Amino acid sequence: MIGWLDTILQGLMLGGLYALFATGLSLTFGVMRLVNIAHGDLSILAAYLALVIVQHFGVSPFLSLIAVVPLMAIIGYALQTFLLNDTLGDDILPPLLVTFGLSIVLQNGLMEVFSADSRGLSVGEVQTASLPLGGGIAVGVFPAITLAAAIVVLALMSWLFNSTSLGRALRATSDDQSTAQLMGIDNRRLYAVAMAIAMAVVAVAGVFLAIRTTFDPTSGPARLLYAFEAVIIGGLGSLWGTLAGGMVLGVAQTIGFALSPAWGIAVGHIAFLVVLLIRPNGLFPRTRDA
Amino acid sequence: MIASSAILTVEGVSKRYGSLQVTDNLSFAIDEGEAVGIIGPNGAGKTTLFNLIGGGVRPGTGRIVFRGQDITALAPPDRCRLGIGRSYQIPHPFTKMTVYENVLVGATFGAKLAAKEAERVSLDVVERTGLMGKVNLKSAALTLLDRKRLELARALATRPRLLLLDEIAGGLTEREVRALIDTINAVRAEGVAIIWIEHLMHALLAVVDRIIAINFGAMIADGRPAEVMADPRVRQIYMGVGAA
Repeated sequence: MIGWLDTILQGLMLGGLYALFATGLSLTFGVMRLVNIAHGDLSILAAYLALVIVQHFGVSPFLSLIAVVPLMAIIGYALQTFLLNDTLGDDILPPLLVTFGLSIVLQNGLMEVFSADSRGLSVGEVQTASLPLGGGIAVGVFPAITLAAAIVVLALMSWLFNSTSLGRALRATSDDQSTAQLMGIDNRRLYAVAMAIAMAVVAVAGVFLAIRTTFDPTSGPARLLYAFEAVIIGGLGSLWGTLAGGMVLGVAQTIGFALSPAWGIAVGHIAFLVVLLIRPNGLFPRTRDA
Repeated sequence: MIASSAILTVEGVSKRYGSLQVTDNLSFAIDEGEAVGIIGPNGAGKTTLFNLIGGGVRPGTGRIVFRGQDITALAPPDRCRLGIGRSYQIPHPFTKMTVYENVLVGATFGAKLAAKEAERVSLDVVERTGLMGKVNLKSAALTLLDRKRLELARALATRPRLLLLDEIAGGLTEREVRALIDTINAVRAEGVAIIWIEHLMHALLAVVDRIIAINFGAMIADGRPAEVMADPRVRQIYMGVGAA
């Protein structure tokens, strides 16, 4: 019994990581109908950026976020301004193709620079420390930090969306792009800002991933897949739904792993299919608390 | 282009979609503070004309000058910030946002106001358009009249010098139309120029002092309302009389 409770707790905390991956994807799709196939690869790029900083300056990976988050935001802004804005239009195919190409370029570029070796980031004792909750249950300190980070990021995003003029511009554009333009909103600049925010969040996701597990230049696409699943399980357009989606996926995967190590990932996909069958619009469709 | 008293000058503007000529060499000028009605049968190119002025559609030939500046190549948000406000024939509210937030978007980005001032202007506009009782409702819950009011409110919040109204009275009851006319006349009294596309002639005549009639994208009459309505080509289109 305790074993199961422990597994579910682990899954919930893993869900925090998935929510971090999914939030940026959901944001760019929601605001500019851009499905970013390179989303996972960009998170791996962030992980390598953190690796370089950690190796050069000998700082903790947590501290490297101070540089990696703004760097990724700048990369996102530039990417949207100079490449992706020109792919957006009535046809949804060009952005798909361009970001697919970007994904390949990123993977090969990282391979060229960093080789195909698996890397990891270490945060020392925090990595393996655990916190006893009593009753024989303990949670890992690092997974708990990951979940806390996800909640903080989502709370910040929620505040940004609901209480700032930038948030209103994002919601207005997401709702009706051409009318938003008539209200004086420069959509191309707004898209660049949205991509910058998405990349700032994915930077956090990439660094936490790199601490949790090893990564290599081809780790991106699997991250993209989990992010998609979390977004769709949670329901498009709902921030906190994304966290719920990540948690459903995380719990399904850890239960799968507990049953048999070979089944972990597959059980996650099965849970995704079951949600699609029962609630095709996700668990929290269009609640727009976000 | 030296600005005379004209706020907007449309010079030889044409637009075609394939073989369909939707705007055919249109030229006219609107004075500061003037109110002009645009009439014409369905498909005459009236809404396309608004899209050309608002920037959603670029003309094939010709140019558009607003307050002495050539705006032909400017994008819609830039034109909005220069002072062109627009309301749609079919209301396009941001449905997941409240009435207040809808208006606030216009004041923040269209009029480029700082937070406090944007809030003040938004509440003022909400009051003037009769939406104060519904200020915190999600706009998806609004009736047709209130959606039309919101279209107007949002356009006003961008602080336009020129207001484009696209069939804003259509589908409303007589009482509702009268309330709308009062609001529009009050806006006009502040010196805002208005171009109004409308089928409801009595509503139009209560506001405008000039009418432009177009058909197949080309101008067929331009002048005082009585003159335009007496024009044989206009009468033929509207009343089917004097058919050749």
